[in-house]
Amino acid sequence: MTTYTGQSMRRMEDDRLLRGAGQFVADIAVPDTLHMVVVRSTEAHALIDLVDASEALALEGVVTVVVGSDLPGTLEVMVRPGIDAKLGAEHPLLANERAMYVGQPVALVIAETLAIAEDAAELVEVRYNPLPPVIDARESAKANNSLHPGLATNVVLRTPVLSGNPHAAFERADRVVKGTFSVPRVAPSPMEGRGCIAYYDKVEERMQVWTSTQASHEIRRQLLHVFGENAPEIHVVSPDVGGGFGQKHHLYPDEAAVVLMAHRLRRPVRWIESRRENLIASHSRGFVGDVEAAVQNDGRILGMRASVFADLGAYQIHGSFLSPDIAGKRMTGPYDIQDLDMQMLGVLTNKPPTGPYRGAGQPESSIMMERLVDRIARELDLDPVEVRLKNLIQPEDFPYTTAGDITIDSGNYQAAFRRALDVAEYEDWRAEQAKTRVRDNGKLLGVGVATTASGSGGSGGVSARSSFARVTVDGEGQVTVDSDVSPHGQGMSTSFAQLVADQLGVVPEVITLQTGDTDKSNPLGPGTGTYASRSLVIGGSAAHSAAKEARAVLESVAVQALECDSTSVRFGMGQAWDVHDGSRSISVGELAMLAQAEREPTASGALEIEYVFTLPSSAFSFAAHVAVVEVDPATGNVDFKRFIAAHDCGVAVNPLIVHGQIAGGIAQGLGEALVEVVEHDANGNPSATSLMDYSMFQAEDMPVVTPELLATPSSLTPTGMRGVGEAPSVASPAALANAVMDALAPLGVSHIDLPLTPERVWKAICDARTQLNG
Amino acid sequence: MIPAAFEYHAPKTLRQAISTLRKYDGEARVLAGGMSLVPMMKLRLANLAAVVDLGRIKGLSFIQEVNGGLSIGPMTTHYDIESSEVVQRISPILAEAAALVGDVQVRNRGTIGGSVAHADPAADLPAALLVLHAKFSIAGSARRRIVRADRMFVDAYTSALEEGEVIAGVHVPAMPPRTGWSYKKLANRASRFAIVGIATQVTTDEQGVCTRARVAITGAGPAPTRARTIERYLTGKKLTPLNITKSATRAIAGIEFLGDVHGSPEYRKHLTMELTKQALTEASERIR
Repeated sequence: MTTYTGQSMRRMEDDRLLRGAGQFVADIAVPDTLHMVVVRSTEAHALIDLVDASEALALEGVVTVVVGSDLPGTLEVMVRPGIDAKLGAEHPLLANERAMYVGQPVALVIAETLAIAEDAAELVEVRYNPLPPVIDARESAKANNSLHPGLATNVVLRTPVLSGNPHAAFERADRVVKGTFSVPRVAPSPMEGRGCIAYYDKVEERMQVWTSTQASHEIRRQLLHVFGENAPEIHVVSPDVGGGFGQKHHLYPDEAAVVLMAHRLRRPVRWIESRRENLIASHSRGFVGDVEAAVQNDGRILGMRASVFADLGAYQIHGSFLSPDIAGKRMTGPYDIQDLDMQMLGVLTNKPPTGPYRGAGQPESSIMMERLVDRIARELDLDPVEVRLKNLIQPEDFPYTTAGDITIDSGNYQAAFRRALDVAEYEDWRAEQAKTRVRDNGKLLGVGVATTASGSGGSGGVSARSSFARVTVDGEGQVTVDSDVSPHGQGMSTSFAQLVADQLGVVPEVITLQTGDTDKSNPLGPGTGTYASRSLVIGGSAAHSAAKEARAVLESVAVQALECDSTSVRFGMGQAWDVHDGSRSISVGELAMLAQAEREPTASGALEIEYVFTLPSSAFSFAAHVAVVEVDPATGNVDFKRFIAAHDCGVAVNPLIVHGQIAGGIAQGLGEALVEVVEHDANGNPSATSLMDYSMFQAEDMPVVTPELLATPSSLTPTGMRGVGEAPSVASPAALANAVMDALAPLGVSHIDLPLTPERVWKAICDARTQLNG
Repeated sequence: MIPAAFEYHAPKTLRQAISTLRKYDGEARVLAGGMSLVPMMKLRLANLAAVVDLGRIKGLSFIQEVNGGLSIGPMTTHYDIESSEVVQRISPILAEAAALVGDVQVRNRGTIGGSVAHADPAADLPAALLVLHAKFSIAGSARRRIVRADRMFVDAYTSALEEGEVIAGVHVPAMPPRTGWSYKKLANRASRFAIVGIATQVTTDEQGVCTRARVAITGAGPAPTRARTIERYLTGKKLTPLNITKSATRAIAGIEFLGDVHGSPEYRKHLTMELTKQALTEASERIR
């Protein structure tokens, strides 16, 4: 019988989405809806002397204009045990008396139509009394007062890692190799921005909320926190979601405001974020670190020290601690380095809050680590591949506990790395470089590698590692899977169906995945949503496990119905039959009804099996990327020759979807390395407020990516899978940066801050030449 | 992200379009492909009383061969121009520049008339039209007037069009024999407008001496402009690598270089010289 798991099935959801039949937040029409527009601060740091809404209120159709003092409530901020966090600066929904960053919500205009609301928003006059803004995180950390009154410091997060004896490692090292590396602030920019519609349902006596989120259960919980003591019951649904990448994993002030105002006004309120708002006010990354390694002359890394600053922006959002914490704990990546002294500081600045973005701390740490490894190779005159092979965790060392106290169950990093090098023809490129580094076209040839380990399935407590699934089989043989993880581009309707189809002996097309509804999947249970490459690993494993249990139930009934012994029963194509007498068969639907008749009644009348799966610990996957580039010294432009992405994500459920994840992650990773950056000037104004100025990788910019899949089974998941969503965006920026720096090395260029824009590359070449002359 | 309220007109003739524009006395704008105007309206950078959409007027989208040259309708899209066999044969630089505008979606909607009238300082087509010595037929007053390309691009977002005028046609003369062309551009990675773009067309006599050189620069300064210093320098000289290199350093004469997130003035200055060298080299290689 066909096994669906492991097949490159076309995604079943794509037909609907490509035909425009998707149902995104903005597509949901609720009668009598009011439209909300957010008036945002134009100052990075200022006292708000006055908000004058009189002209706006005079406009016909304007229902209300709300200012900070009208809308109390603060966002919930999460911390983890062991993290030293100061949460004194509570995150208000609207700036009240003080604006802390450009883009911060200052007032809400609510009107009968969007056009009226936008017109009225232009009429709201806000009088600011500007204060000097704090822009640079390193400077901010040094300040002896805080930008928030009531706090003593701008360093609000300390998540240090101390392991082994780094002091001794540096004592016995042959040399110390250092670097300062930055990972710029970027705007994650999902295709669909954020958005929220809410109304008070008088019949059900609760708030109905649709929101573009990765985690409907989390949003519900965080909304209850904002409401406080007199919170109404809240039902949250995430409909189709057009990309999240971490940006949509927590509640923002504007979304909370929609729900509060709908509750207060007893009318539906809708807010759909504009691209401009998304670009200005939702950021990620923003790290700078001084990193040093104690090394032996043979390239072995004995220990590391690092002092890293994470720019948190003006306030913490729910998961602000995540990226700094993960970056610190996973600093050593896939390498066997036990002696580590890591100082990780989260620092306040007058910029928008930063949150996790695809990789959540791991691209940040990998860029620093992988650049440092290449620098070690260069200083010791070794091949960067050799240095990596010398330091990668060996297959026989698993399970391996890292300096950050993370246990990785299994892996074979050398095999995947060697595969990437073979496919890339690494030795041939190096041989070509040995002949000449300047190509016939005058361009400089560069080869870069990166080897990275990335987690999947959350590093937090039990809830972060757990997921709920319910498999329902009705009399027609139709199967419904309810899950508390939800897709925003991952193809879960297909991959979950593949896993469940194999267990139930049905075709994937009869399986429907239902997600994102806090009514439907255990609102009080785990349900932390889709993030951290966890959805298939945890949610898929829960669905698989529930289906496996359902299969056992169906099988026991089949034995009775077919009057044969259990070794003779076969399942497939929605039927069960006796292998010794193929004429004796029964449908899966009939079996489900027979089984259900013997069980506790269910609301649907169908056979329902529920399962909570808890991943024992994060299921780490491995990636080795090889980038071959040509750098044009005349313009600083970078062109791709090859891009190889070897990933060991365990047993792949759907290789086609894995390839898609790899291509997408690389598009974002290369964009970060080459073009993307949100810069703020000395006044705290952002450099780009539209996609005319904010550069992102586009289809025509992509290299041809050659994906290579390896499948070292994980011992932590029932089918041996590991996550893959984030791994390509962890490895690709580092590989690209190493390739460009490799190309420029003969010119004496040793460092360029990301992103490696043509101008920055050109400037570095000019500066290096000037140095040589001088 | 919706525009402030405005009146929308979709006239059936150019005459109607012009009379409608006049009624608004400068408070109305012409809508062609909408690739620049619509975002500006949505961002409320342009607040207009009215929009006059040329999309319903028949006969404004065409490419015709006239006396060995080209006549192009103002509503002809970039895609139509880049993919036109006639344009590729008669004015290949125009097809080359059109193919580098924005992205596929923009090229499918954006028009030659819109690009010229909007006069974005970093647009691609104006540079090609400058070296082609294109002429624009402009409707508005009682009689059509003709404006030469080198009079058309006055300043950033300012063309020679007066209030109530509409581009009715673009005319490109035939390319002389022994002419080579090139358009070289480093696009910014956000909008794909030129950080700097260099268009050039060079003609030589049978001995290989340059009889006519045209170089136009876009993206570098406040408006697309001819680099006449180079043109004069190259005329009468052979297009040797050394002469090309020496001429390229003259490309920067008289330009007030822009600086923005996509490139500093220093970088634009460097690119202007570098891309001029590349464009002239390619153009000289293409002379048949």
